[in-house]
Amino acid sequence: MTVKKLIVLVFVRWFKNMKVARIRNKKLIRPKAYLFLAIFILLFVLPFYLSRYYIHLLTMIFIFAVAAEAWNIIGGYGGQFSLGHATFFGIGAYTSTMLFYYLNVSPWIGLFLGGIVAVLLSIGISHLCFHLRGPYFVIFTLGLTEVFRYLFLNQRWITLGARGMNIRYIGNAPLYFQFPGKLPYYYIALLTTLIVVFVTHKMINSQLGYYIVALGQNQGAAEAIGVNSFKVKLKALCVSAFFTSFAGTLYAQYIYFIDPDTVFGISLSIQIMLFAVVGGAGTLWGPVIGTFILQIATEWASATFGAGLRGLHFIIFGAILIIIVLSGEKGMIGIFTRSYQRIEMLLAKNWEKE
Amino acid sequence: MVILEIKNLTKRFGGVLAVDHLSFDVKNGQILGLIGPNGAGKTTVFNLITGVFSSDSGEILFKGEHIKSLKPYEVCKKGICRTFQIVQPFREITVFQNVMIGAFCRTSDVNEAKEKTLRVLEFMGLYQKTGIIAKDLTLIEQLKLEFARALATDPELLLLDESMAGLNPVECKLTEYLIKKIRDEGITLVVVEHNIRAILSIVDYIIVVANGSKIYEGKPQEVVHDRKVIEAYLGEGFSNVAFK
Repeated sequence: MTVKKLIVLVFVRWFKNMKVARIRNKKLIRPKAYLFLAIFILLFVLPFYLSRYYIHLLTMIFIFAVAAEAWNIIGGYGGQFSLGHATFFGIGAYTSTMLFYYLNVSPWIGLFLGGIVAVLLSIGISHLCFHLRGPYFVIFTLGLTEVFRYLFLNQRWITLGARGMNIRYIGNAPLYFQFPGKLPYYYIALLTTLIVVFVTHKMINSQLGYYIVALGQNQGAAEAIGVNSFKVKLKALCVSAFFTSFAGTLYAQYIYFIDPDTVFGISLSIQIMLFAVVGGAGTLWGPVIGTFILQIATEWASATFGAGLRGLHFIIFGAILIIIVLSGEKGMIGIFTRSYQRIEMLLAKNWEKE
Repeated sequence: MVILEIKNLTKRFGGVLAVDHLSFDVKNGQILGLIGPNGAGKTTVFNLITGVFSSDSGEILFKGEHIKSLKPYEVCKKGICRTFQIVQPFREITVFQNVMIGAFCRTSDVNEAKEKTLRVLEFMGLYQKTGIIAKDLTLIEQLKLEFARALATDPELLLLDESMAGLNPVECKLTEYLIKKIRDEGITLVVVEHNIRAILSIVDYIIVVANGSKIYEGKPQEVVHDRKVIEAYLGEGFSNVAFK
């Protein structure tokens, strides 16, 4: 009886809130919401019509989008440029893989354990770096990746060194993060990306998010109005590291093979940073869009020009990068918003004329 | 009632004695002026109070409580807020978001902070500018934003560092009005200023520092006749023009 009442009460409360929310900000009739909805449906349906190659490409894009979005929390919003996010990526990849390899622990558990290890590491990094101002954090993270790379290369007794680690295939075992086709991986990567974007969105609109943004813009002014810079940076790095390690585990489970040079590589760190910066650092969707554009540009350049002059596709890729970065603040998102504003202004002008 | 007590405060930067055994009291509800030549140590005093620097010796008491060893954000939580000599808004975000960050000092609830922000923006006359990116504001608007952001933290004591630098006479008058308006809200103010005419007309009490130590304190009307102050800072003949 009481349980039933409670359920009814909760439902009525929820319905009322929905109604009030609808009247208050009329969010449901905004065109932007429909655009997003259309894109989501498209992304969920799309793989049924695509070849294996394109599904693979999209899966890789979403895995890296997770890392780029996570980087964005500390590097974009927080302005603490990390050049060592491969460290967290590698920790995610190696934690789940080693647990599965030696102890037969499901990578689903490894996924979260990897996140916890990354968080513990980032607490250590914070204590060393965030009491200082200036470029120390950048240098520290850059060096840290190399430390981990050499550590994993040389401790062969447990990491198998440069030979890398294979994840043994045990057939269709969803509980062990193993699936027969490519599709499940695509959906897992897509969902993880959406979750990270959602968490970022929630965080940025909370006290912590406002504080992260404040620190990214002016630390002195932020501290003067009550922001505990150390604590805020620590929290931001922890969240960022946690999700980056997710990307690492996803990568390992999808590729079935990892080695220190790939998952702890400086080039990976730079890639993660580039995705976010090219898309628009400090914007919600920038890192995802950046990953899309850069990954597709890489593929396109190497497929089209790879067979011709050697290295030409790298030159073309570099040119694309330079054009986007030189075209102003906030990467691709910046380009979109500026052109949108320009069109709006043009329309307004013509409106006045008529 | 004394809200802020400073006793024998000393700060040394290498061989330079920036603040030298400085003592003064700030009474509740008054506007206290802090003037003196460039390099006298006024801004350093602010930095010492707000915990940006730590002092070498001396004591700072806020409502009878030692705040000397606190960090800047802890000082702000106690109820002391400051503005900067050169305005320092969070440049890339809107006016509203700027003030929100201040409002989060007392609450972690977004809606409460929003209400507080809107109230403060209205109080400072920035209501029309809510959605504008801070770097696109004019200097006086940025100054208002700086005030608004500080007020959003609910301070009991507000330290204003050379707010009128770079403003034209009309804007100076507006700033004077705003400072009085803030005082009328029951907030105690310490004002550092080089615009002597403006400061003399708004402050209740004045302290003159030179080379890190206090050379005069008293009513603003009398300061222009003090020999030491004229020699150190104002120059001859100022009393003739100050009060026309």
